[in-house]
Amino acid sequence: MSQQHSTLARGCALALIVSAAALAGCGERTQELQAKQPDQAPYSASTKAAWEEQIKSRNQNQNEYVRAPARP
Amino acid sequence: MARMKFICDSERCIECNGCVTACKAEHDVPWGVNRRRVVTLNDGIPGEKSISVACMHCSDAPCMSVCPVDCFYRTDEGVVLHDKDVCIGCGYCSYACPFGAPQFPSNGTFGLRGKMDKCTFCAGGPEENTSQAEYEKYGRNRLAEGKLPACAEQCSTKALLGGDGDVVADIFRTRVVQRGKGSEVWGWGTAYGKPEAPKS
Repeated sequence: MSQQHSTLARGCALALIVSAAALAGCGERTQELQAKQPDQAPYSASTKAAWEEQIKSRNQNQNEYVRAPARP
Repeated sequence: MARMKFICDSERCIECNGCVTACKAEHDVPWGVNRRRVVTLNDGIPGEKSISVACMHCSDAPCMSVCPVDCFYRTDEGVVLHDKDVCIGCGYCSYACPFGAPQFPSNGTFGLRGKMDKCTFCAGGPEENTSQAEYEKYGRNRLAEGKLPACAEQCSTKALLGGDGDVVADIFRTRVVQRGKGSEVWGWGTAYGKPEAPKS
């Protein structure tokens, strides 16, 4: 009788482990990036000159010597 | 045509991790993936140096050479990008990269390795510029909007410079001349090669 009980308990434990492993997949969450609207329309081939000008200006924004020239 | 490059001035980096945060926020980068990170050498010792590291968009990119499915490509601006629809997540690029740039999201409960993810120089991917599909896979495409990478533009000390290689090199050179030290730019030679010796 006790052997039957222990077999049953083992079976239940095994079933629990298997179902827990199988159900773990249900907890998967998507890692796709969520959409965010762009600030402005992208530049295109026809506006290449304007894009280059914009990049050039942004490049110089990183140069603090333009904003505050070094002492001679 | 501009050749986009990064420079990190280790004399100026204060390890604030603003660049890391800006990148994560700008592109909604998932947990476990850091396209950019700050590495500190001799941490806690006087004279410690910090460097902000991400994909350097190498001139002769090793990741591009080793990729078995050839998912990498270089844009007209010299930005090294990859196509996640082609990537098989093998990880060869992460072994080849001298900067540890390629990242692999651990997808799902069983820790399956996802497609490779890395810094895009805020230039998106092969999809249409600023499209939904591009955003979902690669994050924002700031470059198409005429902006430079968020990490460099927000850097409070301007330690991290990003943009046209010639311009950022000039900015850095002016700095070095003014302060008189720190002319060895970390990673520059590895990513973009040494200057050619003058031909006699």
